[in-house]
Amino acid sequence: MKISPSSYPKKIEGQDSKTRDLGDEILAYDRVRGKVHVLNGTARRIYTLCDGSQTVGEIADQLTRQYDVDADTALSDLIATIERLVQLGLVEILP
Amino acid sequence: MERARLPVEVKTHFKILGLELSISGPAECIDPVSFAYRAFVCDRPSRAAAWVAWGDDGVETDRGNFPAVAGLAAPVQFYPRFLDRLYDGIGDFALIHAAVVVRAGEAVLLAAPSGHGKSTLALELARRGWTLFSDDFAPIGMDTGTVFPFPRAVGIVPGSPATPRPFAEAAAISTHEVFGKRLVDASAVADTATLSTAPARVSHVFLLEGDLLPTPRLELSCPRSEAQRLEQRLAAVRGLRIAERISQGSLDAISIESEQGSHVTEELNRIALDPAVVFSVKRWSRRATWDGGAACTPVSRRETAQQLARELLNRRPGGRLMDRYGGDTVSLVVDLAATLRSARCWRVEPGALGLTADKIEEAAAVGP
Repeated sequence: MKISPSSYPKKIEGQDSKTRDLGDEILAYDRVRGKVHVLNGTARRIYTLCDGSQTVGEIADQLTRQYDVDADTALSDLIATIERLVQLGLVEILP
Repeated sequence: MERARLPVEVKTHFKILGLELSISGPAECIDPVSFAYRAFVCDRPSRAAAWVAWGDDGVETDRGNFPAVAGLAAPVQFYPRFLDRLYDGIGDFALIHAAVVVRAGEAVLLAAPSGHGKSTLALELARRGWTLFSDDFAPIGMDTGTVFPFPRAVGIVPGSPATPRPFAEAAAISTHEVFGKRLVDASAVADTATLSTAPARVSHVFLLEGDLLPTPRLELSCPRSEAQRLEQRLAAVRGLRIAERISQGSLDAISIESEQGSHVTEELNRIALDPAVVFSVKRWSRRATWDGGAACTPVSRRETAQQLARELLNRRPGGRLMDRYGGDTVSLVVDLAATLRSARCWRVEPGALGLTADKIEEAAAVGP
């Protein structure tokens, strides 16, 4: 699924996954693949904001305000990160 | 060993971290355990599901029997089985191999394998006014993330020059010995006001690391009477080298390493199963020598959790903790890391005891 500014990304939480926030990083354990993904820095922040209630555009606005980055760069970096999180099975795009 | 030779049978009941455990057998088996764990003694448990006994044919437990080993004293066979049953029965706590001291309601873990100075350092900090929770076991509640006191008697190597004085004096007159360590009731030595029963939040974890060995060593502990025979077996294995033999009270620990390029695992495993081997420990670093400078460097919570998990005492397959995780060790490590969410973690290169304690106090003064 193509991710656009109007997409609603949401963390996937279920029996096959476990996430734990350590404060400085998030550990996301994929039981099926037997892998632990480590999300730190901006990836941790983005993952936390993917709660299904905000669009990609709204999240990008937040990041623009929070970090010293222009809106276009924030949006393209955000979409790339969410695509990666989707590939890893950590985030889904709500229909 | 003939049961008829043993003295009168004794029974003791414990409640340890929620586990009700009863032991019975001759006094020589029961007394050291009862002394070490006397803070946990209770009246007859409501349901004694777990038990360990010295029976007609050796150690018997509610989960299986272990035939007596000829020539090996009954207490030396009994105590490890008691520990195994204890570890296997604890499911709500990660039983980390670490000493714990507390100040202002915040707990500091000192984690290391055996022989790397946990007890000595914890006693030094207790001498400096820290509350002693435990010198060896740090039970962290998997649901609460707090560490609970484990008021077991402290084990002290007799004659060790580094042991702080009041504890060394108590060890010199102690009549209870387990695995080469004299058992001392810390509450009888330290100011009783420094002992506590309430759990505490983990604020700092210190991983004590000795100098790395060029090649890992396997340390086999056996009764002194058996050490020479075991050394002869080991000496006959091509590619093995006996690095040293260390006295541990009534036991000797034979430290061995394989010569570069040698693959002696199978033969070594056979020897490690020799009935005279009471326990074996793999070592990657040297024991604490308490000299030179000391240093603390920060380390991530994730790395810390991985290292603590390696030294987790109750992670054996079939134990209650691993049952809770369906045998999934990775899931356990992820949860363990989460319990450290508020902790600062450090790697410590120990030096002289006083300097090492100074460094730890300095680092522990930094808030989470």
